[in-house]
Amino acid sequence: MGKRIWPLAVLLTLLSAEPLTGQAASLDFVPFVGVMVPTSDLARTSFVTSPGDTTRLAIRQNISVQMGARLVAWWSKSVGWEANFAYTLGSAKAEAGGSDLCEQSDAKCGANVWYISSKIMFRYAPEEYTGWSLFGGVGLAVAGHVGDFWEASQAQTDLGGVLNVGGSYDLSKRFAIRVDLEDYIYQFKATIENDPLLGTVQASSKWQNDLVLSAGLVIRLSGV
Amino acid sequence: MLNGKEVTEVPRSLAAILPLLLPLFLAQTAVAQTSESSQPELLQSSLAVPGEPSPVLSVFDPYATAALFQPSSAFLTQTVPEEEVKWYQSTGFKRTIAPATLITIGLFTFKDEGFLNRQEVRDWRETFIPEFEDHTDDYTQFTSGLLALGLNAFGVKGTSKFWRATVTYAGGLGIMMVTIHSIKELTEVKRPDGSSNNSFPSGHTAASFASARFLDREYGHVSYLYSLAGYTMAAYTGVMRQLNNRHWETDVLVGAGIGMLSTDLAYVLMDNIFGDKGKNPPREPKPEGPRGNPSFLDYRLGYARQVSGLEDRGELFTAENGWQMGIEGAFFFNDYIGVGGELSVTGFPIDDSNFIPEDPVVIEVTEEINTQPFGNESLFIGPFFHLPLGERFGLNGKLTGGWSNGAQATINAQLKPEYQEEFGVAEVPIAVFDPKDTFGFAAGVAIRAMVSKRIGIRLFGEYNYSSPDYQISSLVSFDQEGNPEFGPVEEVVNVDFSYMAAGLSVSAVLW
Repeated sequence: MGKRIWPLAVLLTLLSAEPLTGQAASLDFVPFVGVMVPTSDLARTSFVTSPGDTTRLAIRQNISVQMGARLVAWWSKSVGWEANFAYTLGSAKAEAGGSDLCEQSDAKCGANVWYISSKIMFRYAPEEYTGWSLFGGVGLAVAGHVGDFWEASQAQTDLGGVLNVGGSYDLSKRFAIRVDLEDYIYQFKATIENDPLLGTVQASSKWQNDLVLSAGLVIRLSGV
Repeated sequence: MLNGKEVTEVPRSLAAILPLLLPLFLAQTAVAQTSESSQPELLQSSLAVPGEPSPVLSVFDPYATAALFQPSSAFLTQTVPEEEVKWYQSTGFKRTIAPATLITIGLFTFKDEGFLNRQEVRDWRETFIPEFEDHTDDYTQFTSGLLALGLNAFGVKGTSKFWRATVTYAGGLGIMMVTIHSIKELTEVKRPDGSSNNSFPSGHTAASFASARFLDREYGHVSYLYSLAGYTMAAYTGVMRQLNNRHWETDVLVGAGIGMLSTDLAYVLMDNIFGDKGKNPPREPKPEGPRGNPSFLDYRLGYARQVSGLEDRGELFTAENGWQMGIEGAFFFNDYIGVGGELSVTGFPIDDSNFIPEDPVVIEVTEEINTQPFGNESLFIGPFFHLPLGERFGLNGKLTGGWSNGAQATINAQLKPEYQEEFGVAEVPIAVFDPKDTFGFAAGVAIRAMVSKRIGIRLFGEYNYSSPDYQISSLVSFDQEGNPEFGPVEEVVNVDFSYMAAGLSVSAVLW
């Protein structure tokens, strides 16, 4: 019984703890989980399979689970800076001639995506640490595509941007729940050579919009 | 105070990472200058003690108030009501703007072409010092941290007692290592030398900046020289990681930011865990001494335009507008005359669109010609001059001369796709230019405006001249390992090479 109570006691203690000081600025650490929804194909190209006959190939990232962490330095009640790293564990889909090549038994289609970003954040909070707040941000982001699907190829990502809107609700002065919707915008170019599944693919650069809906726990390490 | 006038506070870490990040520093300093000079009395009124010197001092000031250096609880702490302090005046902003700037610019360079891409530093390295290898960065990454602990062990009082300082440093390195290695494993970015896929971010650079931040927070208030030394060592480590071809510019900049944040996080955590236990009492601010001679150390970055040089070669190759970066410093004997030196590097991208190879075989296999940038290094010494123009401004001059070295460069033929398979490479060098060392000189002027007691911004202009002999050789064959072999020198050409450079620089004035 005692062992079961310990985690609850620790959680209640933390939730009721006072922050270091109760002012506007803070340093927040925010672990989060979410879902990444890509809105466009990563690559699209056509093959001439026989004279007069072409086959269309489309490579897509599947909807995937994302995990990550944010570090937010609120410089005041309403302005701050956020650094964010997120990793999406997922898979790809390669549709050619109406079938998904990744459904073949020996297909290696593990496709993970990482994001790292630096954002300026703006916040509206009617009352500090005792209710809800709304925020938005804009910044630079880099997305990288890794995993066995991309092993025999070059998955080249250009620098991109990220937009963010969200809200948080305070559980205590030290903890809050935070929900974010982010849009990562970047260009992606796939160059695949002699891949056992896809052969050789030279696709042109393509704009990507990856939406991420996430929920996290705000841990205020230092209050103003 | 600077001779009776208010001076502004510039985040010391931002000033000290200039070798990595000159342009951004200039922009940030301008913001800080504007913002703080408009409301200097707010901070002063909150921190000053009647009868004591003003604590509103430069961050490089040895007598800066201890209130600015309280760790952790002061990480984001305002000592005046929030409504009276703008966000860009907050301690939290000053603590995080340097790592935020490093990480943001680092991400901006995460591309292979376009403005400020990660290939630029590597191209420079491949042009000037392709065989460079030096592993002192394995040791310099921890030097600042060990210096801080050593000072503490020998009784020099810093912010923390020895046990707390040790735990804080270890904690910062622990946070840094977990963060860096997690990102390395997940991102799988290939190193520039192709040796492995764990390039991003740079662990050495992160460790060196975490160490520098630690030294800064422990002893920066004792003497600004500790901070200057720490961040200089950290910048050296970051630069060496690139010169050794182990990291991209992106890796180094983001690693530097993560390193600084890791140490700051450790201070925050230590305050959460230990409170004030293990902290030394704040130092008493000392009265400020008189200003000395204007000896300085200066980092510069500018635009360069060739006045004479490659266009003498029948306009087959013309140097486009380029860039110059460098470091210079001088020791002044009095307020007006000193002696010093400079190390500058200049690069000019080459326009080779008029060049057509004479060999028909080369013409057949070539998709396009790529000529490496034309580079020049100067290591000059000579007299430096200073003319004070009021409290904040000064006019600098110099007349220097010494060793000048042009970088060896190759003219490369990028092969047509059908020949790339046959040759097994995408590009082959068809000729090499090898400039010989020569004597050069430079003359320059600069106007310096002080933004704090020890930090100044300079607008500079200079003329640089050298006259190297260029040896030109052509490809004759490949050896058994596939390395190109060049024939005997076919031609020696003397080139009058001169350029004008203008730009901005940041000076640490050591008076």
